[in-house]
Amino acid sequence: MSELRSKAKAFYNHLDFDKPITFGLDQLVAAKDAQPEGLYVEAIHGVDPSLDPVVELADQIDFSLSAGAYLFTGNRGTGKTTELMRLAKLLDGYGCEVFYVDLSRYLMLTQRVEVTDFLISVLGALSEKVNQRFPGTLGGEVGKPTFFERTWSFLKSGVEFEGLSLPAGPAGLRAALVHTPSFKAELQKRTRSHVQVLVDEARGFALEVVELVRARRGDPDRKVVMIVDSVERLRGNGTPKEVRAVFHSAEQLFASNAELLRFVGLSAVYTVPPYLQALAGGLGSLYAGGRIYALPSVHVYEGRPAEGQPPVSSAEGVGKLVEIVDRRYKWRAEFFTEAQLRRLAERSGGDLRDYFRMLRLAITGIARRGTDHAHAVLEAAEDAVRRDMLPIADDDRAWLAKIEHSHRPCLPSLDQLPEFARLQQGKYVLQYRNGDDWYAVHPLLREELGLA
Amino acid sequence: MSAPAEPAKTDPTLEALWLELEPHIDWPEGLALSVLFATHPWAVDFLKGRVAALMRERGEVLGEHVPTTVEELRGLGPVLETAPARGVGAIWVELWRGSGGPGWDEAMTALLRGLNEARSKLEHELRLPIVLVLPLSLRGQVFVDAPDLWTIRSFTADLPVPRWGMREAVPMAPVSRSAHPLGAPSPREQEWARIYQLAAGDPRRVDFLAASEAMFDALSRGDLPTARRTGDEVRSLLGESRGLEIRLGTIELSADNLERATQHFERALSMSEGPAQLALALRLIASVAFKRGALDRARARLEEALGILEAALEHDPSATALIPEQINSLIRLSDVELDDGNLRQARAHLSQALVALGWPTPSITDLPDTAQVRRVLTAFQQLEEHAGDLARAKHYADLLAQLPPSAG
Repeated sequence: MSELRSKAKAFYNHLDFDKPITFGLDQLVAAKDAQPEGLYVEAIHGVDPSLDPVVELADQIDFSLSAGAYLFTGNRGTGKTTELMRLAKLLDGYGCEVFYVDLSRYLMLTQRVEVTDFLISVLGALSEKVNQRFPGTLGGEVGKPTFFERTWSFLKSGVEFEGLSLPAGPAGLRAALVHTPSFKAELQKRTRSHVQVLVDEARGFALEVVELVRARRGDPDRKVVMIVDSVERLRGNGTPKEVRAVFHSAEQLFASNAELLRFVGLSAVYTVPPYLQALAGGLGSLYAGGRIYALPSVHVYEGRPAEGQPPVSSAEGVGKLVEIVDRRYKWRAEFFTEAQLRRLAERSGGDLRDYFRMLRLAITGIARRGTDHAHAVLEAAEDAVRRDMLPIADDDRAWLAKIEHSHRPCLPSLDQLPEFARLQQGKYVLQYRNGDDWYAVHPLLREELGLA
Repeated sequence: MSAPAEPAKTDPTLEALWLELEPHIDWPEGLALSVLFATHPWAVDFLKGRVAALMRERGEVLGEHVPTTVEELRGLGPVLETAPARGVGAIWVELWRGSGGPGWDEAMTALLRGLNEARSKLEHELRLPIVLVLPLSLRGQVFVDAPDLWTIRSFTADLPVPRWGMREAVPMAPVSRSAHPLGAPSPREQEWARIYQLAAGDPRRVDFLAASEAMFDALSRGDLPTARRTGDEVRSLLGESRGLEIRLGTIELSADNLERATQHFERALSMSEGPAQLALALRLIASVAFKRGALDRARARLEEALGILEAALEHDPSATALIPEQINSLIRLSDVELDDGNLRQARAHLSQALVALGWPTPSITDLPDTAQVRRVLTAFQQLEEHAGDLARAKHYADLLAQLPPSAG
């Protein structure tokens, strides 16, 4: 293997975006699934530290005497899990006991969600995390029953399951919530008249966990925080009706059942889909902190432009993206100049995944063609990412032009929320929050949309 | 796994495409998803041949999945989420050649949704390059059906179709065979010691398999402390994992440390996902309970395992990969009943195992999975010997004699 290719391979693998930076919190995410702390670049999501949503959230939890439920959101590719780990690290530093749950491992997220299956999955997952940290305390032969065990016993004795076979045991219940859509739907139907019983069970269990942690740590005042990640992946697939049903259920869960998602003693941070921010502005006010803590795309632009004006590149924000690469591969200058990296950073719109994807494509191109062809290679990488977003339907073009003009979602009605979510998840629209919440179309699409 | 595709005729377009794709297969140290959109087999066969050849050169194999029926498509999700066989270096999944018949589109959408849900697993457990070949018609839909999967893609391409004049193209260049076959035969414990030292705390450089084999060897020598120490080393580098807990539990079980074995298996259970993993963990917990003489506890765990497996098979009858675990659980449950004096129940569970394997058939030799049939008949024979019914024991011995010789 040539030296250039060998270095390119190393550079490529250093741009691994699959693993979050965990700040040494191996008890939350195994070291093998984590990146070292040294790779983290401070303040990439908010150049002004006073606007750092993670610090604000950590402070809010720390300052509150009682436990609360908090909402946290961010687009795909903004580094949410890393930021949740930073939140956990801050809370750890404040003396909190933090548990982290990746809900995608416990609940099918492409199907309607209701408060019952949500609570069963969240607290079932918490049982497992507690038992991993304090072995033998929950489940097994000597521990108190896990939440899956309690729920299974309750379902077996207290809920009519005619025509539907309840899983043979707690482990089967846990699996069915992830793998068996028909069971989950039936469970929702059968438990609607038992919501309060399950909520009471959940609250009782949460408090037991808090007491257990405090006893184990010998600290009667210890705050216990549960971070529930991946809930933002809740979205419908399939027919428009199915899509709307899941959107509506997510809205219902977080808007109408906010009270039921709170626990005494146990603070909970839920990641929620970014499109929920476009709903009635009051959603955040139902939760502790009074807002949704939002992680925007990296600030590659100065603040919100005036209506009709294009965004202006932020030298500082773009510089942060260059720094990310410098931290990951110290010989990057053998591949790219700073100007070239700045160009890719700007063209990514601050979306870290697109930035890394273009870099990886460019690295493979340089390994093949040599650094003399860097310009052509960068263009090819940009074209590849742009191509993935084409073609754009006429009605989407019109909508995107409106968004770019006003820098607002321009939702014609709430019925269009799933369509707006589609544009967000496809990265056609990126969200920023420097000074104000605002939106812009992906910079790689500006020319295609006649906006350049 | 099918044989690699026939060497395809090629042209500069395909060669250029391969040069772009190749680093996303050869370089990654974890998951790298390449999504190719196809309308014609020309480029697909060429690229598959190249990927398979690259794997051979590296001493690995390509895990190929090319479902052609709705049933095969439906069964693919759980297979892809399961850790691949040892030696598989990349996964190739073609979803564009299918029947297109009734149910195909729905099954494809369901598969994409399932893979989307399994994104974390693919990233953290599969950790291999995947090439997903989709029909071009899904170009504008895949980010809606599988948004999380789409987010993590490394490479995408619309595959070209053959041009007029392809007959003059040159044959694909031969690819050299690897000089370093899989599984270098150095002493496995020393190999682990070497890897552990070199890893210097960097988990990315560590292979759990090497540790697992080292633990096995240490145990075979009767050196339990070394086996445990290796487990601690793995945990210090890689953190908790289901596989490690099962290995450590098995070690403790074989050393009769039942308390420790239970703890490991319970932890494995909490990390298990999917029916096969859950059932295995439950059966292992039951095995410890059985060894302790806690027959009710063992029975409950085994019934729970069987319930999970039966529900999964009822939901998806094509998930035949679950049947061996079902057989394991039924044989173990038969042991429990026999120990508890319930001879009739013990026989019933073994009969149920035979039914799961396809019995009745005109002859025992008609059952396809000879290895599993042999296990059940052997269990039957031992049960009858234990019960003192020598006539029945001989009957099963005769049936066993009819089976073709075991491969291994």
